[in-house]
Amino acid sequence: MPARRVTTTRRGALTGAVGLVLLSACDVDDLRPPEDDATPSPSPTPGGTQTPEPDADVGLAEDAAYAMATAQVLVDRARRSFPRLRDRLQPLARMHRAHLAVLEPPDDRSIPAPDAGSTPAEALARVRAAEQSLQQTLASASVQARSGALARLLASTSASVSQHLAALPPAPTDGGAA
Amino acid sequence: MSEVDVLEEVLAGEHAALYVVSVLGARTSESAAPELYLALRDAYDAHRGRRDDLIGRLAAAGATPAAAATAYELPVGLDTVAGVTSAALDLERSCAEVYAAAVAGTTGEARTWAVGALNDAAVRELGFRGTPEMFPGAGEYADR
Repeated sequence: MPARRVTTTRRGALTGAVGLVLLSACDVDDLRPPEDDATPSPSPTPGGTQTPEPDADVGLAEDAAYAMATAQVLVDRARRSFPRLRDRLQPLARMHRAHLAVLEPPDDRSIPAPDAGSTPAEALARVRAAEQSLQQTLASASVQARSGALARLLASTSASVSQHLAALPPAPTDGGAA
Repeated sequence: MSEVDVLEEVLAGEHAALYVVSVLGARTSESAAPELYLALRDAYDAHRGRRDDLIGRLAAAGATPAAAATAYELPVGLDTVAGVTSAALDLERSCAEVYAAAVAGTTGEARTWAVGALNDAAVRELGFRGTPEMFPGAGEYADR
């Protein structure tokens, strides 16, 4: 996990748990996390209740945003370097923008310039590997979050990355440079 | 709501999902719609595995897992391949919302389980003509 590069975070992302619309097959409205919830403790401290500490999640959210932005920079570099990948990687670029619109994006200048590789196939392989790493980072961050709302948001972003990876077209077979 | 309560609710959803997906499979011809049939079979296996896992977790926690109901409300429009596909997609999207909510209501290993279930359901959506979403299970963030 990279060092934190930002000092502010959109706190609303930590607390913005909102509606569930469910079909009859999975009708569990009671699971809807309340606003500003703290993750329930499976084993409460005897003799007292623990005070929620949502600020403990700020660093976690910042690290998640940094990981997202790092993956985004690689996608953008690959799209610029290899025009034939522009359309193929557009959904990933949109996904990163959407995720970073919820989690405060870090300063792009703090992210090292990535090497997208020398061929479209290589670039695609690097993007795929970076997204797989991002998915694992977000899933892990979700488990670590103290706030249930943040955990849910991070889990959703990890699932989005999983979906986009599954839908990512295969690498070009000719390996051409553009 | 305790963690056991959360898992009970997810189990109730899995019971219903398993019922619905089995009906969808029964209404799908393996020869006429082989891709849909396979996707439904995979979904059935996945939901059955999740259900069994939840039953084991609840029993290990000292709870008595609830049994499935005799029948559940079915979606309408299951007379065509398109209707079954749409119902299956809706089902997986709904289950993704349930898993996402379970993420918020659990900690530790149970949350890890819920995160995995959410990721699996999101990917399964693609087998039913779903397209990648920005926030599977938490669509309200997409409107921001």
